[in-house]
Amino acid sequence: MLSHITRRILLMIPNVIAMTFLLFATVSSFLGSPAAAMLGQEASLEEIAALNKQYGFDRPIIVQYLDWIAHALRGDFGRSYTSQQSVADALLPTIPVTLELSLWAILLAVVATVLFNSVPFARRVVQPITTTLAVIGITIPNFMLGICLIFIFAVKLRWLPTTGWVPWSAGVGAHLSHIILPVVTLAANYFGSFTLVYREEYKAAYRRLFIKVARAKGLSETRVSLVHALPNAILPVVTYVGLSLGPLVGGAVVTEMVFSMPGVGRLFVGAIGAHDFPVMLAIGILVIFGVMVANLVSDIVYTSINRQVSLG
Amino acid sequence: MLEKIGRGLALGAICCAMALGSLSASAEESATPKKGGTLTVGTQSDAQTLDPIASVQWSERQILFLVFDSLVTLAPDFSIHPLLAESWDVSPDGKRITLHLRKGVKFHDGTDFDADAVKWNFDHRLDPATGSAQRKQLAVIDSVEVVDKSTVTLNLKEAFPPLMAALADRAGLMESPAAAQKYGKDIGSHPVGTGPFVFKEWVRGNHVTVDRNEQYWQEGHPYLDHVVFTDIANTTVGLQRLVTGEIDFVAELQPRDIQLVQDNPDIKLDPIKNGQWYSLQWHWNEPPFNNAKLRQAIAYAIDRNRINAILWNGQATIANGPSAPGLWWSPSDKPYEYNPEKAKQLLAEAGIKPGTKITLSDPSNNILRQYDQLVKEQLDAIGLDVQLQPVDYDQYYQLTLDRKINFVPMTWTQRADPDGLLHILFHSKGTANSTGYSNPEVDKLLDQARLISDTAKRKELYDQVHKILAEDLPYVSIVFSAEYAAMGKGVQGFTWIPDLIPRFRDMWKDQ
Repeated sequence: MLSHITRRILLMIPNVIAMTFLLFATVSSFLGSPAAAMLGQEASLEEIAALNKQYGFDRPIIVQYLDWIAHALRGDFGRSYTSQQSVADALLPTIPVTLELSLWAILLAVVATVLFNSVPFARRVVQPITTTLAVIGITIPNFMLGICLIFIFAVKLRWLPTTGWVPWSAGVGAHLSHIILPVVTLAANYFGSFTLVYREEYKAAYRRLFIKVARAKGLSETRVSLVHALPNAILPVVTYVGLSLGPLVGGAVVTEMVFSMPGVGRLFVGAIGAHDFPVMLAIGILVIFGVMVANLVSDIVYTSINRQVSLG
Repeated sequence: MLEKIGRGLALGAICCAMALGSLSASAEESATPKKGGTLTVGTQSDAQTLDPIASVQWSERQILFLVFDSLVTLAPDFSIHPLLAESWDVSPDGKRITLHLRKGVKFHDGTDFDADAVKWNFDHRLDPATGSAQRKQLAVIDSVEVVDKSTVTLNLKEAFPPLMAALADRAGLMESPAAAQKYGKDIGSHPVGTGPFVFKEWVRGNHVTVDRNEQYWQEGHPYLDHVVFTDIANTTVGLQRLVTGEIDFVAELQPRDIQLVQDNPDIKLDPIKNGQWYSLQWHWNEPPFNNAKLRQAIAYAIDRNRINAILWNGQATIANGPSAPGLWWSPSDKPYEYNPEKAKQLLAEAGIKPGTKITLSDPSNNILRQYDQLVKEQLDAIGLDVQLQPVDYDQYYQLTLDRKINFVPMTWTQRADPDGLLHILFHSKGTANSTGYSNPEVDKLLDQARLISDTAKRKELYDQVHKILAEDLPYVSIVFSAEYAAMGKGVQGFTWIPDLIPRFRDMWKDQ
């Protein structure tokens, strides 16, 4: 187990190098030199050339990349080209926002999936609604759903604030009321896909012998469902959560844009727009690392739930 | 003999303000300004820095104009008025501009605003190591000379009247040298100016807050206690937040956006009708568009009223050239009239057979897509066969500049000086001349107009330029777009400036 984890962590290093190079190469060939973006629309070619030289954008991409990674390995990610902030100053305050949004969203999606699809009462009564919500969650894109939710709950009903973000320090109520709509928006898609996965597993588990045994023992239907069927049906969802973390980052980008949340995703979009390579690459590393760690964690969780599988 | 331009302009401004006042004096706007309150502005922020010297993004300016004062300022017709410079003298050869600075003004950090600070602001922008995008606008300055504590002289390499307009924009915003020294590279997160509002906090990606400057030099100003710029994802979200009262003001609205709020009694709309210049441009000196008859045929074939009606609900202004009506240099010429018969005739004279294919670039942007489709419809009607070629919106300006695409829709925002757009677009050496247009007569007129300080005389030259442009057609002018600002009904004191950047310093709220 330990040796497995060590190996997985070591494997991340070549992965990060390969991915960042890919990011660096595609970004600089697609977006071009940041100099034009830094100087604005009317910059003359001479000025752009001068700035390219000053920042070294005129060197071959591989040289620029090696230069960047040499600094990065020493912990120096440089300064944003546009805001002149150090990358740490730009990036660090955004991480808790995105982390909180993502964790709430995953938690909500898992809890809602399990509740709606396991509790016998809920299964009987709200089954059609659950199915409808699952389909809506999967088919409606995030930004659309976000705007619809804003319109219904903020503009029409006035129950919640439309957009924006308030730190915990400004009050728990204010913080939570601002984060509800983004969390629901981001969770919707996962609720949909988790429901589809979980429901099939749950049905399969229910047909198995130990359920009959449990019933024969005279256990209540709720107990049969929650204690015997649920733990067996949840395994694929755990794997699925691990696999969903990559797309989750994508969903967080869109959600943060719609709800004006100062998270990593919003910073990333701004950095792309401004061709701000230092910030983009740092976020790239962070996301790649985060997804790989999350996958590792989900594998560990999986093995601890299902003793038949071991990491080796 | 020196001309006292500042005072003359100030008098002019008063007359102008009186004239405007009598035109728009509705009951609520003549109310006396009230003090206090917070104005919350929704903005699609792309702000990267609040250091005016490093600033290039659009949305930064509405914040910068509150925290910083510029040396001079602009009226809605783009005439220039005093701000930190109370008046200015121009030497007869136009090569020395002496600025007389307002006395007793202090930066927010308590240091004095004086001639030394002005000199530092110019020298710092002109230093290539700073990498300021404004260096080019100020490149004509040879040296900055401190005469006394409140007088500073700019020695120019050549006479250059457009410089004053630059001093009303980012290049003229005065930053505290002491703060720049103190914060170094982090100055962009700690802006210190002399403006009516003091920077309080910036949560990037969320909001910027500025507070009333209690020590502001202008007696009784500003009225508001706080201005908060809160980020919005798009105008739809912005309007929804306006309806719920979470924000007080949102701009950058297209006529079709406002349907959501136009019947709402709690919201008032303020349109500007001489906004962005929409045009079509081409490679003027290369086939097929080096054929003057073809260019004229296209100019006659376009039904500008129809485009205006469909895209701007008829609220835009038909364009007869690059300079919008209402500016001091606007020409009085008539635009090309819609005349498909004449267009067909010109096409025949040009030797272009019916069904000839022409490729029009189609940038991935909603408005430009619809605009292109209308252009195609009208050009197809005179016998051309327009092919729309999709191109990424983010890249299309660069592709145009690199001359990789030929026939493209184009938009430009008005500049505060005629030289601003006319020189970069139409001078054969203009930095944004992507049409290949070259007319020695136009070059000569533009060069001459740069050297004259007298606006009436300059306008005569620009009138000639506009006339030639209408004949040569490096661009076909279509409309000046209409844009709206929407605000809560208690929000007062807003005036549009045709550069489309909202100014909040003189606004107030009825409680």
